Amino acid sequence: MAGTVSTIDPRNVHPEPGEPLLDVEDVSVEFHTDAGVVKAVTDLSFNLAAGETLAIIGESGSGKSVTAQAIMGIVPSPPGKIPKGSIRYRDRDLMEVPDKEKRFIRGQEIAMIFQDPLTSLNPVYSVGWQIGEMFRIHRGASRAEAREKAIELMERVRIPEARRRVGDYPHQFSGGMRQRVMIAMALALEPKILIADEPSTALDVTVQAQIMELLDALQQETNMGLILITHDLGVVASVADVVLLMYAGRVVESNEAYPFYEKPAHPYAHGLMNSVAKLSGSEKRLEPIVGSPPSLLRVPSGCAFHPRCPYALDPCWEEIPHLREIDGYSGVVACHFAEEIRG
Amino acid sequence: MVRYTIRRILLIIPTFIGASALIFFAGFALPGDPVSAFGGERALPEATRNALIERYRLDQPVFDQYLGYMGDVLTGDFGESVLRRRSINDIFAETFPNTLRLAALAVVFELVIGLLAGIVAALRKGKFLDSLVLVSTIIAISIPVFVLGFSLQYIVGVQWQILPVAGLQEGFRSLILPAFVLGTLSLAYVARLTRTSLAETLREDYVRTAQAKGLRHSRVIGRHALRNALIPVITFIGIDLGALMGGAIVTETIFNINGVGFNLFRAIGTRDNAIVVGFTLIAVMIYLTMSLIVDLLYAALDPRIRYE
Repeated sequence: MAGTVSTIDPRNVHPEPGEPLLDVEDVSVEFHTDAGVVKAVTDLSFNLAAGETLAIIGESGSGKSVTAQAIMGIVPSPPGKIPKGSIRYRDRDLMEVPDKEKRFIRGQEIAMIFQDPLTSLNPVYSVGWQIGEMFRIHRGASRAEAREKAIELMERVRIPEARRRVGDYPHQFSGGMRQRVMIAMALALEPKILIADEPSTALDVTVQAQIMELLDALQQETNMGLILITHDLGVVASVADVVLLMYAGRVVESNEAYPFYEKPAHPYAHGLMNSVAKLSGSEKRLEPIVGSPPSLLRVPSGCAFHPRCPYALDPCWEEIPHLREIDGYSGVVACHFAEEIRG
Repeated sequence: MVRYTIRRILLIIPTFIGASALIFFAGFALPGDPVSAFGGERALPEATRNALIERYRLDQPVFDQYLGYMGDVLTGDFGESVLRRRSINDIFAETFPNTLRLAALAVVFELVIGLLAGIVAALRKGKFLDSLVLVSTIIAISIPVFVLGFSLQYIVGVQWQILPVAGLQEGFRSLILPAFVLGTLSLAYVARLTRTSLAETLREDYVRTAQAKGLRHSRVIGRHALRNALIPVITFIGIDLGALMGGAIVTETIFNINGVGFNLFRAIGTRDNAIVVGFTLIAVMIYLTMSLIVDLLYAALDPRIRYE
């Protein structure tokens, strides 16, 4: 199956591993609603290189999906707005490029798969039609050509009996197979970056693993940069190179995956780790993080995590902590007392 | 799909029997008898009277009459109008084309104006055009058909004199006003249904997927959103067409159009039961057929239906 890679589009050259692809700098996203301004993402910055997997972790409402929408340029507007920041893909500023070029980049250079593969696929078109649409619209392929390409892609994402099933509709597939269809569609034009927004959350555990393995294998083949958005720490641990931890629209910790898992610095990261069941080691009780994520309409003053933080002191509710390096830790963390807590 | 179609067709039979019995017996519940009505003011000679009774099976029990009538209907014979001395089939064949033209044009109005207004409203939700559509459709729904009919006749026909006031003498031009009046109510419903359905569809995940595929906005709306949003609208219009083809009593009467509804109205006035029962039965058949077509169309438009 690895041999089919270059037949998709021979003109398209895979990037070299390590080649910088995406540079997000100081991006904020706001939603202007009747109830007030929702600050979904504040001052977000990160880089992504070819072959790299970046995991954005956070609870629901932490701004991780909005981040993905901002990169794709599909933040619903109105009410959405990106008041500041820049998103650069290779040598182009995605906020500045004209609509036509934006559409070119969207889907062809940067593609995305979504959380729920049933609702994310159009129920009234066959999966072959939906995958083939990429070739018909962006490459001017005929219906027959598009169909052949669709079958090729379905085989590539390991959907059994692709030729027989190409005309079937989304509801005729299982959850895992639907997500494979989504992946096939996203990978149709060999994007350099794939954003996967909770790709396995709606699936059961064994299927989750298969989907993650598939994404991993496809990344090996094509050297694409992968942005994995999830709240599942287990999924992240097995595939991510770099981890970005978000809380209430801000990045609170960022590091390479291994040191992050070994010993994170932010109290929120500690809380997350302690609330996940582990197979090995102690019979410690799971410790949930008390409280719930804040409403983005009324983000707590200072450090947004302070109402839930067991270590919170006066400065925490007065001053917003910024990402900084601390001694003895390779990543950056936004916590006033990171040294003491990690110490 | 085939089994579904067969089951659906079989369901028509009991519905048709029930509807025909209701209509037939309701005709009998009316006071007076058709033979005396035939004579008008004068009493008929005994021999004529007996001949008529014999001919129309009026001496038989009601239930036998019904069975006899249904037997004729099954052979395609809907009986005869005693008053007009013509077969119901003839009268229907003469009047139905007018009703059909009227209904078709009314549906064109529904499709063009209703769909357009609904789509614009959904895409501009909460803006001025949306409010305009909402307010004007509420007004359209609230105005009784005869008020709208008479007003338009007076303004467009009498004052401005751009379209004929009534009748069918000027062909297509004669149909514009009555078709608009006939279509107004459904047009308003179509606009509102389209608006709600499209606005809902635009929030669907697969519309976001279509955007993420880098498709043009027009394609995202047209191919991905509208294709789903219009399913309920098309079924509504199909059913509505079935209802309109059965005759528009008020509109045809106001505009003096020799259609099914106009003749039905006249027959009710003259106690011409044969026409009332025959026409109503045919209208029921048309309606049942249209709803069958709509059901099958629904399955064709939404692939999920076939397997559930």
